[in-house]
Amino acid sequence: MPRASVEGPGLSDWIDLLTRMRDDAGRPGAELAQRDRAIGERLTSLDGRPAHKLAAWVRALAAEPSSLSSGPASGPPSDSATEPAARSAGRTSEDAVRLAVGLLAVLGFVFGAAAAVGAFSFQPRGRINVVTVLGVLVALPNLFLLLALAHALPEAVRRRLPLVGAETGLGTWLQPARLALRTLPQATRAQLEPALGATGALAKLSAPLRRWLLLSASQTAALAFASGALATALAQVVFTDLSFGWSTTLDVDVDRIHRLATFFATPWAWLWPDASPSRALLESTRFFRIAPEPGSAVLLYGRWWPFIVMCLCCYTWLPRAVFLVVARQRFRAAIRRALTEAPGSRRVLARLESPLVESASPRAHGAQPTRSDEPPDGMGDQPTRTHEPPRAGGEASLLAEASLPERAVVIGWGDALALPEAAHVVALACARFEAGGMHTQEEDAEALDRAVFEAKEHGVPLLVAVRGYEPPLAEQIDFLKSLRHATGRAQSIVVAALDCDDARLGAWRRRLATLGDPWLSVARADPRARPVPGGAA
Amino acid sequence: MRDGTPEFAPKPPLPQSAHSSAREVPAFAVLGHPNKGKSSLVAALAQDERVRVAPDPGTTTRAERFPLRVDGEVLYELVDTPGFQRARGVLAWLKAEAARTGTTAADRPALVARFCREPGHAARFPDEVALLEPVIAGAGVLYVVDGAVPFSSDYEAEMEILRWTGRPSLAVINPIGLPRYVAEWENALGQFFRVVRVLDAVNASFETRLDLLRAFGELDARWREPLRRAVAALEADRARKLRDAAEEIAQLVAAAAALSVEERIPQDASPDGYRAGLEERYRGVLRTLEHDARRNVEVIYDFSELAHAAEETDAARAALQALLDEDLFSERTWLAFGMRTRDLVAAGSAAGAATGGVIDAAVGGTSLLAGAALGGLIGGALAFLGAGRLARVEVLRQPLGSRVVRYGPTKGPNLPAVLLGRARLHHAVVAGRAHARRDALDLTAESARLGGRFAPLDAGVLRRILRGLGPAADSPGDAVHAIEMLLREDAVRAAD
Repeated sequence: MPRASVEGPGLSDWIDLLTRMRDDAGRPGAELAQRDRAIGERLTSLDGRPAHKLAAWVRALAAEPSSLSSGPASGPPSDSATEPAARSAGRTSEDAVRLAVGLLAVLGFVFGAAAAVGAFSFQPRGRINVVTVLGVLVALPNLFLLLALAHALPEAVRRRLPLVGAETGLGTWLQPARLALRTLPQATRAQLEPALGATGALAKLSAPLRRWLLLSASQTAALAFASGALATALAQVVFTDLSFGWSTTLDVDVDRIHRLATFFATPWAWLWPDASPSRALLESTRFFRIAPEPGSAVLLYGRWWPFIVMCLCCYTWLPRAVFLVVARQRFRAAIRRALTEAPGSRRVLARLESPLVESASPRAHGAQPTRSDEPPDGMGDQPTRTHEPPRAGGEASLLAEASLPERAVVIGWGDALALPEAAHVVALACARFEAGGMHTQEEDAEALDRAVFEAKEHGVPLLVAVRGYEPPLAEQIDFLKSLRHATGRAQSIVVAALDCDDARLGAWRRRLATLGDPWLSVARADPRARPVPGGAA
Repeated sequence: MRDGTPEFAPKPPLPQSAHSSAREVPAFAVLGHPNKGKSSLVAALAQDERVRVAPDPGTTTRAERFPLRVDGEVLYELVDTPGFQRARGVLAWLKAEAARTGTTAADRPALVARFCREPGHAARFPDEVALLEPVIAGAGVLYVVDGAVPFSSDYEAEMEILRWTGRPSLAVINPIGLPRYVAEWENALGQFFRVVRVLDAVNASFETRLDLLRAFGELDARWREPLRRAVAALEADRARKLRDAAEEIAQLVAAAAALSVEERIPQDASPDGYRAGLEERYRGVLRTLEHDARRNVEVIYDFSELAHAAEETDAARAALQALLDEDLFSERTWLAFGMRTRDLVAAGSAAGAATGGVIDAAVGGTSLLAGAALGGLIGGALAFLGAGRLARVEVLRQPLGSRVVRYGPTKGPNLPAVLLGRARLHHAVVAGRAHARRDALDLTAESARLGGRFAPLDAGVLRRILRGLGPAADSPGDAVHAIEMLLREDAVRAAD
């Protein structure tokens, strides 16, 4: 069995999860349960890791071409054999975001290199002011780092800070990542909006996602800036002759500056003592606008570079790298949380993990074969075709409803004549027989022959009394056909339906109409219905 | 692996009845007179609303199997069959053959099997052959009669044939209407069947249906274990559906509580002119939310084609209307960059302080930072007073802000409480509805029938639910659980 992927969930999984759940809405639950349980059985290695399981679920569905269609559930099935697996919306969006962030990183690197070139090019009196370099390449980036850190604060704290309080506040608006995301194609932004939007039902889940995505993208750019500056600084050191010095208008003690520089150099001093400026270096490289050149110190002017490079590494590059790692981890955590807490996620997990219970028929429904394509019943001895369901799309033909005759030869089917409602039917009988029920078929035949004889003798209709609340049975239809066979044409036969409502009578009328017998009629044997003189005869 | 390559090889579909071939699967053929609710009983037990149930006899023309599968393993099968049409003819043939061949009672099942194989019988007795075949293959007999009509001798031939099959049997009295003749049927059926149950297939509760399945297990000791597992699986599945429904309802309540609609309006427009339109939009979204949630709950309970009776009564609409009479209309100013007035004041203060700081520097600090403080105050005040005007400023022909009118969200608990109450009623009706029913869902009628049975919503529970679903809540789990408990209790009360 293929192993499930254990790669962590990403932005594409979140977008695809939302898309998939939106597409699944309204689909039959049984269909979803069947589909997802089949996937769930392959994901048991991810038990206990719900976010990973959900991500694997959306990836598994995306890998199945037939399940990719995001159209309505009733759409035509795609040809899964020939249709290649298209890229999911999430994958496309994530790639676009990655591209935007990549471009941002390139720009950051270029800006970092340019800033470093600028800082190293500013050479009043031929010297590069160390303070200027550190200000541009270390202090300023850390000021922006503080702003970024403000956005990383917990929501409760952040809400109280001006300018960064609102998620859409000016501070966020000016983040380079946010500006970069605005350059994405409209279609991609439309995909991202529900997943990262600030409003809507998912705002609570998407807010941290959006925040950490922007922060990690911004830190990528900042790290690229630091890398560009560092690389340029090293290139300048290697390929040019740099003369550093420091200068200030303020009346500061060199010892104090030395302590400060030593403090900043603490992290690497044990590893690289030369990267910690000595007091002698500080004294000899200080310059004054109108002081004479201390020619003896020329060789010392270049010794600042280790300190500058290490400052760039430790105080510009490293904090950004750490913050980037943290931002990415928090972003992944936010993705995991969003995946597991999204409305509907728990239901997906339940479908993946719960045994699939199916109780419906696997065969197509509503396709019971009818026998209406067979010719209508004739009047012969062949057994009656059992079923004549109502014609689809229209009214089935109905046998005419007649009134009870004044006199008739009565055949009671089963024990129908024992019903209280049969009293007035019995009253109009000039002769009375019984068939069906507990009688044998031979007894039926005998009763039939005698009834036909009596009807001819008396010149009255034949009346077959049935329990109207029971549906017409094939053996009753067979009996009626035998009766017609025995009487020949033009003998009136009335089926008297005892104790039945309109619906039941309708069933009798539809069923008897299939016999195509013009001298056959059906009457509701309601005791309140008065016999019509000469009716049905 | 995330480059689009498939991570999973497609799993071959499980062959139908693959498990069932490995051992004997309990099967139950649902038999009886035409139009006595056989298909309704199957639809109710199989929870399949697509089973053909029609008022005309002869709707079922062939045997159809409804297996209960748990992860592909078939635990039992129901077989819907056509009704008896020529039972006396079949019994006559059986008796004649038994007399001719001297068949003893022990050989009667074999004789029934021979009846089905006899040349010409498939054409002459198509329904009887179709309905007896599953029984001959080993299915138990589930004989269904209508307790709303009296017993008659027409049925005796059917029952006698079934007795001749020698299979374990159970009779179900399914009253299609008033159960006036149940006792009469019990007397008659008791002579032919060891177990007789009364079950209204159209209105049977889930628990009643499970009881019938348990009774199946008592027919044959070998069937007890698979039926026990089937009941356990159905109960677990039911519990999952209840949780799903609770989550769906929780989402509805959360969305309704947070619902607001808004519109940007020109600076010189009167907000009141937008009130009616916004209110209508608010109601429309609310209706859509409720409608969608109801459909989703129905789908959870395997009702994908459920028809609805005409919408609610005027009284119900008026009750909702009254809830919306609280004033949810408001107006605010929106600024570019999403800045709130507070942010704008902070920015103004900072700018003012910076300007004041220049003055402080110019006088060599002798002002003791008074310039910065005063500048900050002035800048903040100007920003506060100018927020509205700033909204009118255009940059590149785009206004920096505008006025916004909004309707919602509701401030009190009334609207979520009423929606929750309506969702509870709808859920109880859907969860308790048998799949055999073909009438439209009429919530107004059901409200009159069930409304009084539900426990009133405790204020503390409502607070807990709303707190759990609010914007400040960490996880909606507690609220969903509270709703789940309510739904569970409702279902029990509705079934009573």
